[in-house]
Amino acid sequence: MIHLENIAKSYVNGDIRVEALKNIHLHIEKGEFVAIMGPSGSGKSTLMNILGCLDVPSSGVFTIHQQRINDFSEVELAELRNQTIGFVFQTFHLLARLSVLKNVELPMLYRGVSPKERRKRAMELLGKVGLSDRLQHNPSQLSGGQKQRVAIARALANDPDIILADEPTGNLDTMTSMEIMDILSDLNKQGVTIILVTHEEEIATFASRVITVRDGNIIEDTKDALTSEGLS
Amino acid sequence: MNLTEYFKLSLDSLRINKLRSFLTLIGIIVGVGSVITVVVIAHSGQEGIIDAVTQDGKNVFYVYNSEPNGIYGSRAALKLTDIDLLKRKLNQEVLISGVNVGKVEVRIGKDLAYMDVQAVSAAYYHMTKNMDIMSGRFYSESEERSIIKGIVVNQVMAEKYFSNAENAVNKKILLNNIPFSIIGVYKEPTFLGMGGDSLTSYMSLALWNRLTDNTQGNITALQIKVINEDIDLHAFMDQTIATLAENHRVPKEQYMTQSVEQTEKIVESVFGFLKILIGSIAGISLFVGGVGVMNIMLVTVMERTREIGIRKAIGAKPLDILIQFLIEAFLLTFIGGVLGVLLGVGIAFLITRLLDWGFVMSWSIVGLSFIITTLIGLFFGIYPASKAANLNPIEALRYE
Ligand SMILES: Nc1ncnc2c1ncn2[C@@H]1O[C@H](COP(=O)(O)OP(=O)(O)OP(=O)(O)O)[C@@H](O)[C@H]1O
Ligand SMILES: [Mg+2]
Repeated sequence: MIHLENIAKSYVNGDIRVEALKNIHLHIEKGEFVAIMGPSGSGKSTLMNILGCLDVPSSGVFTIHQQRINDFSEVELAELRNQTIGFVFQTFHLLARLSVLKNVELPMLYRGVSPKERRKRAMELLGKVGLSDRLQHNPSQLSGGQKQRVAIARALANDPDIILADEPTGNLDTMTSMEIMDILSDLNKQGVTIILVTHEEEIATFASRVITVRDGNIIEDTKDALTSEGLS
Repeated sequence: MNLTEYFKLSLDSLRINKLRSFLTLIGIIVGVGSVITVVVIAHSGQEGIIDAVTQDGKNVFYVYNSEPNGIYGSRAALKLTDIDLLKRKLNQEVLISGVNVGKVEVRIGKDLAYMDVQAVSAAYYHMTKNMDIMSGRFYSESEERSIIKGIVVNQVMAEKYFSNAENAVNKKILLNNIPFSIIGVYKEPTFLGMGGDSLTSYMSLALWNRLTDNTQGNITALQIKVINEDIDLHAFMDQTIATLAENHRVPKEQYMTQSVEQTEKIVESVFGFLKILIGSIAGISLFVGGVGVMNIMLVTVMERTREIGIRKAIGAKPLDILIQFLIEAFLLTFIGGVLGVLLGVGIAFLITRLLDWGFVMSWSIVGLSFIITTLIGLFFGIYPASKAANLNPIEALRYE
């Protein structure tokens, strides 16, 4: 479903050129649960941004559902992010001035869903993540774990195929992290493809596949290991 | 996403920054408010002034000697006999009054004062709409020719020295030590609610000429009212001048005319000029207000960079962001426009009340204000809004 071929990404800041990603080949099937690991500065977030169509690669071919994302216009990219991808961020990225309910409604607002339907769906999703009693709260009145659950509800608003989570438990304690991971696991069981970045082995164990990145290269992929083991 | 949703979004963010939004708007409010105030006051005042100058009707004009001290001056001087001449020669039915004006010393018992005098013909009474006799009478044509020294004084004069209008009638006063008797008291029309505490009076031209030793019997001006309102006044004024010139054997240029309509046009053009002047001052203040809006919108966009990043990440298109901020700028100035209009109309209303003028609402300037504030909002909002729309989502998300 997701296919990266020869993907490179470099940042140029004046004279300094940073090769954040060098030569990435990656194929992710529908329904996979992928954990991306690697040291700080290795390029994990850069990779996630490209997967999330928030950033464009410097070179290489990137397809989702066989569509070449490289050729997408900004409007098409926005629609893709809106309907095919759901984001969960380390720092939650909720809109501070909107209620929990409005935050979850937002992706549907941009898709043009009617107010009534939006509300219904947002309440349903917030119920699923156990926040039915916090609908009118502001994000600032919530705990970290609750905020992340709102973010997950928002990510699910338009029923996406893929959820991208860049260190979703990075700002949470172990207990809360486990709750969040349970929610993501459940979603994966319902068929949502999940790609998450983490530094913690414990979190990575929830995934069925672990990719290790270093210096802009994928240096290890448990799926390859499995297949090569299977071959040998 | 439909327009109402955008409006809700923008209203929400304005509500959150109430004080700041309001402060930003002061420029617009003051700009719009002052224009509305001045235009509405001018509008009301203009009606009043035009009312005042047209009080004698549109078919009224004045004839003057254009060069009283020129070589033809004395030969061309207007006399009482010219009134009869014109009545005979002009092919229209007219009312004619001579007009001389001056000031005279008046003694009422022990009191001494100065009084304005308008020396006019008896016909004057039938030519002006605003001669409101409270008590007694205006002199008639037969009285005008008699030697009875009668004078018509204003209400101020009557109330000041004889406690009321009725009391003043038949009382004696001394003008330049010559006894006159008050035959009537009139109420002066207020001019835009102002003035009205000076002593004024009317007397016949014959009496005035004697009082001032005007042995020549010269008249400063003739006031002429044509009974038929549908005539070509311009041609008629020419005919009048030609008749006078022929009779006095002087060139036509020796006389000039001034019609009420011309005066009205002058008043209108003065107000037109005033409006342009005020309009440009308002333009400047609205421009400054617009720059203020642009400034605050740029600040807003910067402050909300992360919000914009989040919105874009979850699927807002550049156009969605553009419209959101454009509507915010529009709403900001539009609210400023509404407040400015309310403020301006309120102040104008109070001022016209204080001056006792009729309040005349100028809807066109209100409409224009809304159009202009909308344009200002859109014009000064487009740059910040497009800046927001073109933000890179990743950089925006990373913005601290
Ligand atoms: N906008 C940018 N401009 C310049 N260099 C950048 C930019 N974004 C990332 N980089 C560089 O690219 C490299 C990879 O960054 P990236 O954020 O992908 O790392 P990461 O693996 O997510 O690290 P961490 O675990 O600390 O989040 C780093 O060296 C970083 O400095
Ligand atoms: Mg990172």
